Amino acid sequence: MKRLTKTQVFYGIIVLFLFLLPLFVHNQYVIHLGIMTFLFITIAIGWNILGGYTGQISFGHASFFGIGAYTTAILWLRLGMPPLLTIPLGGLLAAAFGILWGYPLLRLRGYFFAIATIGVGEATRVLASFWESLTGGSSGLTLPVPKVFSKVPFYYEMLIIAFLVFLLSVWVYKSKFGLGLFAIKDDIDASETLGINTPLYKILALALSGFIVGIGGSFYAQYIFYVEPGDVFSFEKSVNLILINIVGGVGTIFGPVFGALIFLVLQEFVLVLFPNLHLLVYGLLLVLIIIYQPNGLAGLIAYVKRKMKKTKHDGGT
Amino acid sequence: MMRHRSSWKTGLVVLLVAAFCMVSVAAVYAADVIKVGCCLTLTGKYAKAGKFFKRGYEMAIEEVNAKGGIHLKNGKKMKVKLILYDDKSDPTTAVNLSEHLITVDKVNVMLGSYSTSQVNAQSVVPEKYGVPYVNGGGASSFIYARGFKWIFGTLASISELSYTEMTLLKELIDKGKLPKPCKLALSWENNAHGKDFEAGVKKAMKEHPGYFKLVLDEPFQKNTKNYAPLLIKVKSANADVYLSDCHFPQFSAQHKQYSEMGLYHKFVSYGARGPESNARKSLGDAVNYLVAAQWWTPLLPYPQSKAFAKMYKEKYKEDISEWYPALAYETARILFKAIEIAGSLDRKAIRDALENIEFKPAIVAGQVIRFDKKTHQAHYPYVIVQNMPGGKIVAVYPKNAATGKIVCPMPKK
Amino acid sequence: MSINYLLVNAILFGALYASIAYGLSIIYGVMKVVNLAHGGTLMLSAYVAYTLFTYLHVDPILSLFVALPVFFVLGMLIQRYLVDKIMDAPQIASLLLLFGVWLLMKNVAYLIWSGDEVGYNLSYALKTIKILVPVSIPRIIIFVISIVTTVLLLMFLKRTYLGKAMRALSQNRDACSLVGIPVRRVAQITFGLGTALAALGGVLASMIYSFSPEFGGNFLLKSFCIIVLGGMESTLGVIVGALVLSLIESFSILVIPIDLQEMISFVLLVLILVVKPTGIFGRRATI
Repeated sequence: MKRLTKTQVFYGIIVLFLFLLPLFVHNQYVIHLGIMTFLFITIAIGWNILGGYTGQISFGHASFFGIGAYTTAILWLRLGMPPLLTIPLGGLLAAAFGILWGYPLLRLRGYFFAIATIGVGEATRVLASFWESLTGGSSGLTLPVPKVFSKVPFYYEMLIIAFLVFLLSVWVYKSKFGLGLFAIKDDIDASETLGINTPLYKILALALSGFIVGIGGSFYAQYIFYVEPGDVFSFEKSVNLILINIVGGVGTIFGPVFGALIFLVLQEFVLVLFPNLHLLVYGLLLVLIIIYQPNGLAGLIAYVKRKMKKTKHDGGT
Repeated sequence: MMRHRSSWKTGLVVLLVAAFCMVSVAAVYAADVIKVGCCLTLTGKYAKAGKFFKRGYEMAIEEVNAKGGIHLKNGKKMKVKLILYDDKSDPTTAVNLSEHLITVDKVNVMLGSYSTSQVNAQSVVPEKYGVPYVNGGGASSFIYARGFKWIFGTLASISELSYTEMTLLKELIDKGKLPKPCKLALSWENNAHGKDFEAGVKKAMKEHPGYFKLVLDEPFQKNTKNYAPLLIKVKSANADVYLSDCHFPQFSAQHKQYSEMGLYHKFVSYGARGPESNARKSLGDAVNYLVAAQWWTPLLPYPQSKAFAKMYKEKYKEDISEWYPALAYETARILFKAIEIAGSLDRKAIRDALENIEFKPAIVAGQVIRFDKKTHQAHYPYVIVQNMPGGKIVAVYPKNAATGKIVCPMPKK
Repeated sequence: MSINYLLVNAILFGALYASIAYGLSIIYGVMKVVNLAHGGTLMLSAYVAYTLFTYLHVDPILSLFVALPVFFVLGMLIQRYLVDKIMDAPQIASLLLLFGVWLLMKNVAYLIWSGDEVGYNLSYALKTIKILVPVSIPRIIIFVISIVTTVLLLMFLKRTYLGKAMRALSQNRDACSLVGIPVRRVAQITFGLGTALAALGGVLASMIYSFSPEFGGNFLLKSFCIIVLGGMESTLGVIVGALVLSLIESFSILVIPIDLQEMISFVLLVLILVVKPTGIFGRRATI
């Protein structure tokens, strides 16, 4: 019990630190990095709930991101809705879209689902750039740029979203629902015989996953002020989500957090210097992690800790 | 699969510290140079154009620094320093790097990236922070129709490009080289660039009733690889003239299949594409007689333009047939001129100077560049060139810049 | 719109599609691994043909004699040092691993050839022969090579020991090791063969397309669509799948706008997976 409190204090300090950061750091770029990190953490958690907890690898999550972004852009631009209010709508619309294609596709297993999601993602992108009257076609939509611009409100917005989404993911992880998802991942047939309603569980996971990524997309649109199908619906966006989770640790609570941090550090500090090598770095990471450390950084840290403490290994396997 | 329940302090602390330490390393510059921020498509699908732009910018900067820098009102001369990043031909990266340039590098002014989609995305950032931004890479009038205050473009618009081509076509029809009415097949990238192209064609058609008959008007996806479906439609439309709005990769991919499928038209143009040296390398004789409208060509007879081509050749040891470095050079020179007129690094003053600038002698056709007061897009005539067999390129329009006669209808192979 | 043109076009493209899909199909059939590096192989082999042609003036047909062995070895190495290590992990691991390999291949291409759109210019590219409609020489060559490849592949699988071993492996892996088939060896050869076949498809495609390091992604999805249409595991199924896809694509331009064309294969893929996951034959055929 004492140990648990300590941990809580530790987390509390981190969260407090993040909340106070804009008060003593006035460098806009730090704030920007903070915002992007929280955004990546959020959408990576979204992917993890379907891909990590439930084991349904999706290459098409950019479709959720894009739908979130376009919901905000269109409602703001065409109906004059306050952008903040569009965030839950972006999430809901993305979730609804997920249910729409998830219902038929989630029956597919393993590979087939993964490949089919590539098709879904790409088809959504093509459709978005075709449907010009709604989306502005492949030139995208520019949102009203404010006269005076400060990043700090965005920072708090995204921090709160990321924090809530993180808590949600912890709750799912520990809930009976989460247990069901992990059971599906381990052995779908066995979990069916255990009486888990697998189609329902899977579609709920997909909807939740889509909701979270949609929220991320919605926020992104109002922060960047510009949405374009080739960007928000891009295959690369989907791939980034996979990379973040694999690097951080698929199916763990902290995986997306670590992954997003590493991803951002890589992108902003290493690859700026060697832009020619970004695919090489990601490709190598992917290959090495899958072969040597399938649980990513989270798995690695756990492993090192166990080795160092030489105690009995914790938790269940 | 394991469900770890250990605490994560170590990892989290290490990562947080690492992330925020690296931020604080951000360089601090002394304030005795003018910092010009820029990201370019140095890698990715527009890598070639990006490299040309880099050369143009560098030439302009070397030139101004060789003179000791830009003369300001306080009597000081300040040198120019280019801070350049690679945006990988990806709009989001361009947005992020622009944030970086303005908030970390604290640049005074910005030069633009290449291609309509990059400029479209990126320009939101300098607009947001109020940083003067001049680009020579985004031509679609869509970019300038958004009412932005800080964004300037030195490329004449794509609708003017297609309009100029249509004016040439009308002349050819009058001379009896093309039938009247002339059957026109039109295809375009389904984005702002393409729509602008279509608008120019339609405008000309309205102005010259009875001259043209549009038998095909088809948008296509810009990332497509397979042009067969489009080209089958083009073929069965049985047109006299084929106009297709493309960027270089799309032109190269499409024209390869065009010639391989044995299509023929009396007059073919891919907008601004065709005279690039790369085109002949990959398409061979198939590029013969293609017509292209250009913002600049070494064939222009003005001394300042010839001087630029010579300077380029001396510096980079190769001949230049592309317009990219020339427009990059002009773009940077206009920005420096505006700073000089403003006489300070006050952003508002530079912006006002840009709005009222009358830049001459410019190396582009018409020899003057000025920005439209409302849209901030430059406006000047295009030069139309045609590829001739053996790799020669001839300027065919307008008359005062022409170095040869247009071959039309195109000879059949 | 000329129906002849659409028909000839569909048949010619069908042949090209089939030769591009064989590599994916054979690896999946034998090893139940979806080779996401397939797109990368297509792209790299196109660049090999391009480089040999541009710098040494080697005709792409001759460059096949270089490309196929090289990519065969590459495929064997990928199997031996990468895929084999995770054969016991969940299926999805190999998918992600090979996706990583694809990213590596792309980066190699960016480093060597840059991101420019390139192509090469064959002396006979513009000559045509009339078969109902004018057809260019490269397309006829592609068609002939595709047919020859199909025949050779069928003979190899039916007649040779190795081919029979592959077919056995595709049916029951465990039983194979029991009866003394060197499973690992056969798996390596399969991966080599599949990669070499992908290279064949890439070289052929390079004759009529221009390409960049991003080339291959669309064809990967099309190939997958084809093998799903054909019931996943049979060579004949691939041919039928390729023809069906190319016919639908070709004739769809009568009703579907050009800028939605790219959706056809994605939508078809998803539809078939959902409605008839066993392919258009309705049952799983064997190779």
